[in-house]
Amino acid sequence: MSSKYRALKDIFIDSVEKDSYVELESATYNYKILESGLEKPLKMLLLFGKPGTGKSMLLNKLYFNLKESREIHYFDAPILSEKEFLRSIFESISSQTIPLNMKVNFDGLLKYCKNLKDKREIVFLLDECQLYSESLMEKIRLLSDTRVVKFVITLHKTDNEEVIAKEHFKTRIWEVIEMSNADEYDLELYITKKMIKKGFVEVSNMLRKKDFIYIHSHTKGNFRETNKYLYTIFDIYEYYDEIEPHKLSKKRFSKKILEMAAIRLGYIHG
Amino acid sequence: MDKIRKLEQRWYRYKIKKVGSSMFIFLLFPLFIIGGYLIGLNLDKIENILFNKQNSSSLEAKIVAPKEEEKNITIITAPPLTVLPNIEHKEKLALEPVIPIIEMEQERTKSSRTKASHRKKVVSKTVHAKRNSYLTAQELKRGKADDDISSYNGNRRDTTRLKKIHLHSSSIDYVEKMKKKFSKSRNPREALLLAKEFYKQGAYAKAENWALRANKIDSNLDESWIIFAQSKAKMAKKEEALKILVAYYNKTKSDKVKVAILRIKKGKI
Repeated sequence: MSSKYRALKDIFIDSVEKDSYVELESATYNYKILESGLEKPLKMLLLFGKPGTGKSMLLNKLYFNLKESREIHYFDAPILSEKEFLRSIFESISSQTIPLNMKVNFDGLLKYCKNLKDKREIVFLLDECQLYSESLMEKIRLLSDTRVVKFVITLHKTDNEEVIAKEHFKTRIWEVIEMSNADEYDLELYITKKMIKKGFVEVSNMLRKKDFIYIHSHTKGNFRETNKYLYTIFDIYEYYDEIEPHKLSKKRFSKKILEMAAIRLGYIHG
Repeated sequence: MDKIRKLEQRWYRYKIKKVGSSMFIFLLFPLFIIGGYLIGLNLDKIENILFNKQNSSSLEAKIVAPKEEEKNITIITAPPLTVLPNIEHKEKLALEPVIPIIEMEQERTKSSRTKASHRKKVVSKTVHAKRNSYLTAQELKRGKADDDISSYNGNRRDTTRLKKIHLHSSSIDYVEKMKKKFSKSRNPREALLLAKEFYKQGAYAKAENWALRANKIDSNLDESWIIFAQSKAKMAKKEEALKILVAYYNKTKSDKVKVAILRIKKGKI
């Protein structure tokens, strides 16, 4: 019989699947801004924030919510080759497959987009845009100028990327959504909702306020870090559940395991 | 499995460290309190050292708390604050911290006596103005020889003016004499008398300085503490003055100091 903690730890495997999205107040607010931004005649929308603040998750949620109602395409992984990028854009707009030996001409693509003006409005969701080259970003900018193609892009917030963002988008982005780490309250909701969603009510009830505070003290409310931490916690739980179950309390969450996981991840030094 | 066991061992080590550091802090905390308390008790010493550094580089006066032994002697043999002419008793008292107070009293009496005798001498030398009377030739001669301050307004003398000048000059003389005396003898009582004199004159900074000198030589002089604190109070440092006196009172339980504290508190200084 496999331990329930095996299934529980899997919940916290870092992914951007629609199922793993958790409704939080801050995320809901950002989502509404993003959705309303798409209704406005904006060329570009920028999701800006440190890694692990839920940018990709929000983009993913937007895609799944709107894919039935409007023309929307999601590039979850950055396409670094310019040739491949232009091909993907063209294929998404035209719904045609281009033979591998053929290349999309950028001028041709621009003309193609201009011809679609007032007929169609296509949204592209581009994740991890800090990896795109400057020349490619320039092409994205020119494509957005046609007002046929609208881009929602995500950027990591670091000094370098901030400069790129300023240089490329200062005249074009009218909506900048800055994402930040969750506070203690949001983090508690995030963890609890995730567990309850998968039916682990009993375990979620074992977690006390001080446990959430402890988790937050190490992860600083970063969702990616939190997932990693909880995965490690339940990995250790799984061991004790299977090998030394007498060491586990059924009423309270083990502080020892919280600390062991923190040692394993290097948050504290044992 | 091995990984978890190793992790558990690391956790035990972490816990030992954590508990150890908590225990260390737990033990350190009362030490801090005790240390703080001791520092509080000796605050006057520290302040005195700092004060001396600021005021005079040559003067390294510090207010030293009376030693326990001396304090004990004081408690056992402390005599009433009266002048005791018995020499034998005086010698005995010379070891005791309260003797300066007594001798201060003696000194005061002595000084008042000497002042009185001096005054007498002055008076004997001084020509008294006689109402509606002429001075005799002898009187006139004595008056001229004494000083040329005397002034005549017709056949009348301005006695008030003469008195004033005389007192003033005697005060300066007194200070100078005492300073010379002190530089030779290094007697704390002389320093204390100077402190008192300066205090009377309103030169509180000087009074404070001389009180410190006296205290440096003999830290058991209640009067030195009192003059020091009173001078501070006069220089708008009432709180500091009280702090110093209270700290001293806590050690000596001197009634004089207690009275001085109350007077400073009530603003009667």
